[in-house]
Amino acid sequence: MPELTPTGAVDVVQRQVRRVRRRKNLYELQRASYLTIAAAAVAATILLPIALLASTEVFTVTVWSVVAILVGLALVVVGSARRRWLPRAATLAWVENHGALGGRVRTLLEIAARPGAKPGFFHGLLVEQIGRDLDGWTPRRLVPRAIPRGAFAGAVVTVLVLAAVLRLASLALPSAPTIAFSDGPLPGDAPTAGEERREPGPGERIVVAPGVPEARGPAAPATGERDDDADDDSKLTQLSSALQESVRRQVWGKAWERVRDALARAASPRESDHGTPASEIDEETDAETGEDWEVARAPSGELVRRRRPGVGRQPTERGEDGSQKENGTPPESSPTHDQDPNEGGDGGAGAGNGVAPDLFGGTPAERGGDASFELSLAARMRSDGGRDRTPNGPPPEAAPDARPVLAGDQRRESAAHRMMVPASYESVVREVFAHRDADGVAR
Amino acid sequence: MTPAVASAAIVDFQQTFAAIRAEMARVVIGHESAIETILTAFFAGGHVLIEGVPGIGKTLIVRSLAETLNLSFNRVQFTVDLMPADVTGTRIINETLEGRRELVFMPGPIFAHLVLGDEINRATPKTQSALLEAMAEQQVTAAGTSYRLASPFFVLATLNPIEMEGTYQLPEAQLDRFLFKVLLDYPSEGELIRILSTTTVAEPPTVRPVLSADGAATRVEQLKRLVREVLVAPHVEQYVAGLVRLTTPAGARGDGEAETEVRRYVTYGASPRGAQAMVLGAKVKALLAGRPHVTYDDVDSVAVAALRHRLVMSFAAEAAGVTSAHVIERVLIAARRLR
Repeated sequence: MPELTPTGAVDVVQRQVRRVRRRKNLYELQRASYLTIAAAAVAATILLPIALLASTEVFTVTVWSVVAILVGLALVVVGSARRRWLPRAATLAWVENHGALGGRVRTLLEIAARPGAKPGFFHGLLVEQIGRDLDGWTPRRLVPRAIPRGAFAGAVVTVLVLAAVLRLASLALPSAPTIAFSDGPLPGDAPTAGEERREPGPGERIVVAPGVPEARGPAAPATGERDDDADDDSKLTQLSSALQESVRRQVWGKAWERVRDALARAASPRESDHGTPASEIDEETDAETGEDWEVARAPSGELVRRRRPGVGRQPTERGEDGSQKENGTPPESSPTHDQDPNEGGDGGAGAGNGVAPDLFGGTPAERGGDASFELSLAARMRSDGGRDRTPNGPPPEAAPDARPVLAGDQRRESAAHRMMVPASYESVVREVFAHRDADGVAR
Repeated sequence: MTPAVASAAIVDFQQTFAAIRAEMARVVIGHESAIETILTAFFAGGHVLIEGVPGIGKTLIVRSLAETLNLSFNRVQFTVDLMPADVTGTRIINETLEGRRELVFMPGPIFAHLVLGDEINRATPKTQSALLEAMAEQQVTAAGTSYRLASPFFVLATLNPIEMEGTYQLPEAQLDRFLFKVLLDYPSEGELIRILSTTTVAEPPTVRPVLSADGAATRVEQLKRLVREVLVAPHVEQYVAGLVRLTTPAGARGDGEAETEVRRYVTYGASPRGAQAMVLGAKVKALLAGRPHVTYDDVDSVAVAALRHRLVMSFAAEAAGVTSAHVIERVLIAARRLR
């Protein structure tokens, strides 16, 4: 520590005061930053699982609640930092109080700053006393810690927790919807009041698509979801919805986009159940040249429509419906048209609750040996509306692409069945997959 | 000035002050706080107004102080028929050896280092105002001629709070001339016993001079000058100014308890002389604490004595029994935010 002289004392003391102020303000700045980081990390830790797992409505409520709390916390932190911040004018008083200097330093510097100030009788004594105490109020003594430990630890812990949650969240990608076939009762298909549970009749088939919205929370796609509050298209909801989608995309990446598209496809009929009047559905199906989603066709030709469990109203005259279909009644006569338009359209794929091993028709031998069909994985089932008819006329136009921007990258469905075979295996593959006659001779 | 010399000067001041106080304590039983306040005012260069009932040692304090300092002392008993000339002096016809007659100024009792104006409120305002010039200007004017009073000049006036019949309240302007006002209360039982045991013996204790007779005045002046050298930082001056402003109804604008009381109970607040008195008294306190600079605490320690006689209280205060000291205590608490 340099020895103070009456002439140079002011400069030395001023430098030390500035160093104290710098250290103190740096400390407070760190503290505010760490607290802000901690608060943001806590908020992200709360929001992340909700963004991934909950519905848009829940996420919207949560995100704005968290934002409100976060803003409040930020105000508290800023207010606290402002109170603790050491402005230039208050530095001397703070140094005096915390250094227990008895007003010496403040007196020296303030009198020196006075215009026309001349060293008085006691100036030398004051400088000497300050020089004796100079080591007692160094920046390290007045601000012992360079880093606010509590705030720093809080920030580190919360960030680590966030990282862990992020890691776990990336592993929690929901599975793409699959199509399962079952003759048993549908899970959750409990009969409502006044409605008897009916065992599936022979030949009825059901199609269950697990992973569709409502069956699994995370599977609810942000873009295709709609419920009673679907009219709420406020900016806040749109913003939170976009945020939720962005979070999912960031966390799950390309995988989420595939799942989301699949979920959107699976959810499309349900949407029509809820939001579209039956007449509109019929018009749409007609417009699609008889293609009717969510309708499974039995081997006998019986067309079965059935609501998904818990969705909409279950058709009560199932047999009648079936007979209509058997008689080749066009889709207009299906129960969809008989029900109240306000109650939505038909349910999900399939009808009945048993497993039909021949869901997609009999073996080629049963159907004459020349029939064939293609069903790609994860594709929706479709039928031709129950009519035996040969294609005539121009082919129907494809449905408008929901995501035209992805059209360029979209792979053909058939590509899923292909695989690259090394050329050296060509003879073996041909031998294995060759068509053979009854004697086993390759044709 | 080297730090060693300055430090030695402070020590010398402390020792002198302590010696005077100890010497006075031999004859004045109790009243330690009052004696310290009186000595503080003396070294600060001001005058003191002592208020107390008769017989509690007012005159004894002043006489002991004069004897201790080895300074000249005069006592004036203020009565209703006391004339200004009786205080300041008058011109008389003096016949010289040659037989020539001339007017010569005969100094009054005010021409002394220490003057005790006993029961000053019993004199007429005209006589009281004669004392006014002496206290403020340290000079008296008689027949158009001004006469300088010797330094140090210290007036100690007493007020009797009882027997108000036939008294003249001191005008505010005159009250303002006193640096401090000291209240002398009744001695405690223990002090009373000590008074009895020390004053009723064959050889009561006497005061020994602390300063030598030839250089006492000079020495006191040196000490008073040393007090003036004490450093007062702008932040302390700002604090004092804020404190004085808070005692005025116009300056007490806040909604705090002190401000409300000031507006309700104070008609007129302290004058700039009150601020000067606080700073000068605080300087003495700083030296007594061994510091070359004044702190907030120094100011606070003399605030009541310096301001209590400068506040003109309202009728509401008298009705409610609120004293000026009470208001000042409130103001001191409120003024901490000014630090």
